[in-house]
Amino acid sequence: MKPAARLALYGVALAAVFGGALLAGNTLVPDALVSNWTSASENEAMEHGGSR
Amino acid sequence: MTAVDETAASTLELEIGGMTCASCAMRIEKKLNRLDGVEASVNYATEKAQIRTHGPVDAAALIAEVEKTGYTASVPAAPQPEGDAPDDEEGGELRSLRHRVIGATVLSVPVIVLAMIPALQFTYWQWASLTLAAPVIAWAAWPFHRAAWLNLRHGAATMDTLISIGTTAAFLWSLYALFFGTAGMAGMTHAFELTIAPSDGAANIYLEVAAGVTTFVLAGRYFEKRSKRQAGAALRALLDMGAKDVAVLRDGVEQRVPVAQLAIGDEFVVRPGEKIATDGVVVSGTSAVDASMLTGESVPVEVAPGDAVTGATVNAGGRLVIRATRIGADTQLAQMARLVEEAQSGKAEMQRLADRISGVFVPIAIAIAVAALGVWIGAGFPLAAAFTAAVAVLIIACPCALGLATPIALLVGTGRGAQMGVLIKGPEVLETSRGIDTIVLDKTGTVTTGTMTLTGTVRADGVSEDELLTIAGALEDASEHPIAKAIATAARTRLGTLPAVESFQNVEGLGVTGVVDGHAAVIGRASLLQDWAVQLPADLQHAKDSAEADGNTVVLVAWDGQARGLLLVGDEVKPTSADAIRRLRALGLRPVLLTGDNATVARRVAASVGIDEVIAEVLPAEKVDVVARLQAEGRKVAMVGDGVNDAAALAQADLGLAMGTGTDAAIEAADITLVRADLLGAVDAIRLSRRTLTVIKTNLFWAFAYNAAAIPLAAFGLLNPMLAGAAMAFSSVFVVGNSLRLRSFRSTAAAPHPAPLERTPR
Repeated sequence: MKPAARLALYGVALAAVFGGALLAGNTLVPDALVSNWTSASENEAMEHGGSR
Repeated sequence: MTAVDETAASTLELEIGGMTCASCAMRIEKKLNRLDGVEASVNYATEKAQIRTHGPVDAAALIAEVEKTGYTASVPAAPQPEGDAPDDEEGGELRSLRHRVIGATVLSVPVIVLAMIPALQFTYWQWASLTLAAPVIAWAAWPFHRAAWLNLRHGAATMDTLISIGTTAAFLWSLYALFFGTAGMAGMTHAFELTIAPSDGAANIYLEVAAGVTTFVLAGRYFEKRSKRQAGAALRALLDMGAKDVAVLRDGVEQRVPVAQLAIGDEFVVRPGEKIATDGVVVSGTSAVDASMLTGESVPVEVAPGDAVTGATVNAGGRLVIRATRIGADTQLAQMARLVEEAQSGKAEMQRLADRISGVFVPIAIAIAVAALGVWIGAGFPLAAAFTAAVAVLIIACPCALGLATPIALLVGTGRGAQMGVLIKGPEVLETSRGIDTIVLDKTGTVTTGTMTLTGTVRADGVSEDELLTIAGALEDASEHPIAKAIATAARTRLGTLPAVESFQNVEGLGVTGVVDGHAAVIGRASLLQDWAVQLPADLQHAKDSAEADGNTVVLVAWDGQARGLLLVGDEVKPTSADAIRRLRALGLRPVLLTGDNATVARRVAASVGIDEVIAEVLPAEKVDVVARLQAEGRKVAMVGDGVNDAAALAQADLGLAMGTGTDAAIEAADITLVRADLLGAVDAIRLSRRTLTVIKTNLFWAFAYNAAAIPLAAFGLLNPMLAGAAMAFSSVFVVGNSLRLRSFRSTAAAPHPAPLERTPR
């Protein structure tokens, strides 16, 4: 297979992976987890005073 | 640029630059072979392309075609037989790599130390880290970025791709975090914690990962490159074998001139002990010529007027006058040099294990990063957090120990080999030793000692062995002939001093006569004894016929008008050869004896050491064909040899092993040199190669495993710089520790290390 075709095929595969992951994230990850993570992350940032 | 050829087929060699792995060689080869009338073979190790053209092809067009693939090409400078020409291009590349390694090390060490030790993290240390790390990623890692771009153009991924993606991702993310995130603020520190917790990616920098990976991998590359074998050395060693000057006869007067000035038809003088300058025909004089290094024939060849002689062989007997029949590139030596070069150029290079693994790992790592990005965005996380996770996957996917996995094992393996007398030419050698199933052994100098030795005596009734050796030894001691030397050495070893000789006469090509202890003695061929009217009794005649049928050289001894005995001279089998063959079989290798010597001698030697497969009476040029034929049968062939006639076969074999006592040409053409010059060294070499390869595989597995285990953490947004550093440190420590185990590798031979197996007494 020619390099261009191989790269195009891989690009299509990556797009498919991205699309599938987008769908999976939307349907499988609960909203509560997202809000918990966001607040935990904010707390973490505040604890380290902007250092970490 | 000039046209290569205007008429028929011709060959052209190009030096190729910019290749980073065996796949590069394959790509260029494919590209060139697409051109009409072009057959190309590109060798990654020698960095050369051998091109055969049918019809007029412009060298410029070939170079342009190579350059289209992203590599460089040039017509090499003319070869310099004196061997003192510095390899500028190779040296330049190595020098550039050394500069990068030194630069990267100096700049990376403070970056890593600062990142890993919070106590040293002064205010705005992160900006100092950026200043130090930027040249490492942009300049020192440039070869990886360049190779990654080339690979991308060809739709392929190698270790360079992984390194380039990993370091670039780490660097770009750090830039983002410093300029647009909170990482650039005063007082920012990396706390020493390996806890898994969600973190704000924009507060983390990964400069130490980028700089560390670059430095480690560059160092590995440097060690690998430095020990890369010099294929041209074999050719130079071969050309150096020939005589440098010659005593040519001009108008009956001897004139010493450089060999290059010799013309076809010139007559030249070769004195005892001198090398014959070029291929020719004996015009006058008789002598014995030692051609063992060229032909593998252990017995010196007697030559007389009209006989053909070969250049670079040694005149062991009397003065010869030779007429040159072939000179320069037409001589047998030059033809052999061509064979060696062709064999080296045509040798298929294996793709490095690390590259093969990377070829699969890189697309998967990218896919995981994209999947992480998709899941995070799909779930509704902030876009910055989604990108943090995706980039973290790319950062952690690049194993720092990947660059060390192969070179460290090779460094320790080759070091241990050197201690045992197994000198391994280049790092790729051990990787190419994979799956060796056949070992082809040259006879003379490899399985046997390669020197003539007195192997036995047959005495007439009433003659003691001491008496026979005293007279024969004393008389032969006055001769320079290799067979005479073997007899004299054996006699002196057994008897001590030898009596004086009177009236000594050397009868060229037939033997010697003289008086020893008052006995008029004649030693030599049957025809010499006949000239002296000495009859051989029936029992001695029978013993002579039988010994000759067994491949021995028989020397007749007579004194006072009566035949007194026979001396059997031959090439002795080395005491360790049979044991070594048994051990090679135990390693699953099939031994094959290959020799230019006659079939009778070859079969006798093979039987004495336990080899079933014998290929005898092979011309020097045919040895390489035999190895190629075995390879065509699907066998992976190792070859052990020592002579010039073995050089091409050693280069052709998947693994070439030269005896340390052999010719420079053989040593240079081989992958491994056995200093001990016995076959047990070959057993050690194969065992060490296999063991090192196992260590490399384990190293690669763990180099990837530590980082692969951290990929899920990165994908879930739980990666922090300390975790990335820990993965880097653990995998590196494991790789180094695992490689150091090779230092405990034990030699097969009893000395200097105890053998793991009992040696069978002979």
